Amino acid sequence: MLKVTDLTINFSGLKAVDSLNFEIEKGEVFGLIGPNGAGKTTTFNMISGTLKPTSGAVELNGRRIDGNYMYQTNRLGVARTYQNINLFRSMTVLENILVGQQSRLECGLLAAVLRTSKQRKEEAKAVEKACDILNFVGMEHKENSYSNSLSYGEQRILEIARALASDPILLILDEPAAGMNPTEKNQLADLVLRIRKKGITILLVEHDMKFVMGITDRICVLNYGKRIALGTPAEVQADPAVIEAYLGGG
Amino acid sequence: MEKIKQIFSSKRNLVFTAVVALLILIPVMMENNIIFKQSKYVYLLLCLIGIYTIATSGLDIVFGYTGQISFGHAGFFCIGAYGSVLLSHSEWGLGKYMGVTLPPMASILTAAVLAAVIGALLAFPASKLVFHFLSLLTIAFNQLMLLVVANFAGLTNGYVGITRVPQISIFGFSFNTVSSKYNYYFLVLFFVIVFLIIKENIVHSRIGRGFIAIRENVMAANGCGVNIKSYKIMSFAISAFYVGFAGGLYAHMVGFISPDTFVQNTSVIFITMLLFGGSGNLVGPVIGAAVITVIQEGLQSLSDYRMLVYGIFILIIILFQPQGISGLSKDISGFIRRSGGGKRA
Amino acid sequence: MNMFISVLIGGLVLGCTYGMLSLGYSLIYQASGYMNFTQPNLLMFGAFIAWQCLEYGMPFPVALMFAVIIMFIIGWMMERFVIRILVNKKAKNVYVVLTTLALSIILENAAMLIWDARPHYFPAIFRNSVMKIGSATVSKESILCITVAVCAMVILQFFLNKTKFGTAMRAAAQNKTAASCMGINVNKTIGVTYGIAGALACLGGVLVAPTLYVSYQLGTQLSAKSFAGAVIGGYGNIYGAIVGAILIGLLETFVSAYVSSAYKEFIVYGVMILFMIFKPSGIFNAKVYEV
Repeated sequence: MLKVTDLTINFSGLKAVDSLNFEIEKGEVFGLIGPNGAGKTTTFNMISGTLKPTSGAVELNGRRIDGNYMYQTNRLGVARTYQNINLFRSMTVLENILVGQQSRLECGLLAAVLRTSKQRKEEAKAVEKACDILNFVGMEHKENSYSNSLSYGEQRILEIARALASDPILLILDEPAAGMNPTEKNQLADLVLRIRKKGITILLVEHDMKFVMGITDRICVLNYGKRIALGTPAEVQADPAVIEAYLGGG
Repeated sequence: MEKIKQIFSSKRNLVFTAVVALLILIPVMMENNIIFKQSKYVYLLLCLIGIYTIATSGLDIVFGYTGQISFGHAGFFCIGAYGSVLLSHSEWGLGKYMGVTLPPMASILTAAVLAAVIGALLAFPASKLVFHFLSLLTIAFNQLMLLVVANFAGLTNGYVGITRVPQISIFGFSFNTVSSKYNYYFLVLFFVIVFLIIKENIVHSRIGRGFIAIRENVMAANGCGVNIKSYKIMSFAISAFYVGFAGGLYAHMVGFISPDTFVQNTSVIFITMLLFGGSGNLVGPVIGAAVITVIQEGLQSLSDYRMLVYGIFILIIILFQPQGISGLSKDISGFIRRSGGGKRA
Repeated sequence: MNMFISVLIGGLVLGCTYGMLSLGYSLIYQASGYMNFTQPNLLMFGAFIAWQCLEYGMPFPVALMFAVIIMFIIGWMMERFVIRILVNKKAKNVYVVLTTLALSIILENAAMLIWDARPHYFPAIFRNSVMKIGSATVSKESILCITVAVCAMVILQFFLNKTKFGTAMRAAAQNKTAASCMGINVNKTIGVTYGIAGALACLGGVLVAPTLYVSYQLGTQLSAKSFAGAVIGGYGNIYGAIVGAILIGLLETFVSAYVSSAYKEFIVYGVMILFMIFKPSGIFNAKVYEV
């Protein structure tokens, strides 16, 4: 489904990501791990369109998406969450999720101005869908809250809900468990598996090893921008190169 | 029946309708000497407030909702005013060079559309730039418009200005403002209501959410599928339409236009109105336009001090209450909720 | 040829004045990331203060020094008491820029109220006001202006690159957090930056005043073109500020002399807008793009 070929990005001489190769199958939960500064978020940024790679390609179901604007990649079915929470603070929970549906709604300016019945129906359906998503992630009854009245864990879940609103085929989660307590992490793991059951492919970056190993089908390990291992959690845990990267040599 | 029920369904709509009713009834009663004393000056004031409400609401769309700075909106005011006059005046513009004129209402509309087109063109490069540059670009735009109308004297009579601007009449009903602005007030009121309703519709739709998303967090908005460039252009175009239309209404009310009205200071006055009243909501621009217009007229004798007062106003508002007056109500209701709230789940 | 030389000198005088402003813009933008609309009116206010001093009979160098010091303090105070409050409140960029606009308006109108609205004329600085270059006649004030401006630029470069405090300023401008970890008092460097910008603006104002005149509108009239110069050179780049400003000054005077005075405004704005559309990073490639 997602194929990354020789992906490289060069920041004035520093290769943050160097000839990265991996392929994600449809429906799997794929992890990207590595020590700090290994290039994980940079890779995400290149896939979602925030950054343009210096060379190499990113393909979604055979179609090149590297160098796209983020909204173009979103329209093609890729949605993401962020390391730092990027919610729309002045909007309610419901409205945040409605924004997530931006690329799936059709009515334009004229319809909005005239409040045609088509537009009103579409809005009503969008609200209904947003409520469904809230139920799915376990945040029902919070529609009209503002994000600053939510707990940190709930805010992260809201970001995921917003990402789900665009009906993605690939969901990218950038450190979704960061800052969560163990209960919240369990709920998150549960949510990720429920998302997978819906047929959505998931790519995630996480530092919490227990979380990652417990939830992913395959993992790619990065260090200094290069891939040093790729395989199932068990394979990766046993790989000497990985152990060295995390614990340091000698 | 459904539609009527819908209109009265929410408390907000009820309040809105009540206010509109008052705005219609009181002037009628005044004119017929039922209450207060008839004063022609009041109608002029009300017309100005209405015109500036439309203009400030337009600025609100680009600044309050989409978060883009514009220090040059007087430029669109200028396009609307001069555009409408040149299209409808028999001795200038279209009338002078082609012997045809448009009826004033049509010319206002056309001028507003022209302003929207220019707004979109302006937004093309502007949408890519860091906002500091946007502020410079908009100032340059304002200055350029001013230079155009001031220097192409053959077209616009330069600094002397154009007099005897045609009066509006619709289906024979005249909105002549020479003797009294009473009739014109109802015309302006009508358009204020229309433009405010349109603004509400836009703001509560997918488009409006896109604007707010851009203001709050551009990267996240991009990631959610909002085409940033296209939305910024749309925002500018809509805003320019509003301000241009207001400019047209202004020209046909005053009956005379000259470049002096469209200087940088006018853009600053729009910003003062918006900041004072509060941006990002429906009533803020109305409050701002009303209060500042009254101050403007009140300070006529102290006109030297006017801009100084506005400068101090803006400073105080930004330092202490950037949400403006309309933001106060949110603060107050938040305060009440917190102090009386007690336990929350 | 005579006309060419006097137009050239005129252009350089204006260019140096815009340069004093543009340097201020670049310094402040580098140090704090904000655009500052107060510079042109600081220029105007400084010119007025110097004029007032001359009216009281002070000798020119003293008046100049006095005005420069006062404007340094005012520039510093604006940062300390207004801008910093907003920055600490984490106010959005929009509001900071608007505040500088408000301050600019206050300065302009305060000047109009203190010294009235008519233009004031600067007394001649030199007793024998003209000199000859080749066979052309130029005013000594113009040469003074250019010379002092160039000296100021050179001193500024020396200060920024070779002194300890100047280097601290540059470090803080590049990375506040890292600089403060190194023991640099970032608040102080930013305050001094604003102060220097104010002082430069004042210098520009006092030097150009004999050639032009002093009025409360002086700042506004110069402001647009000084921004044009900064944009063309590359907003935020020190060399760009000087080069762009001088180019605009020359462009303006040559167009005014050889084409027409009415068109000079159009051409200057036109060039600025074209640069903004097609090469916003200017000649020296400053960074200006948003997401």
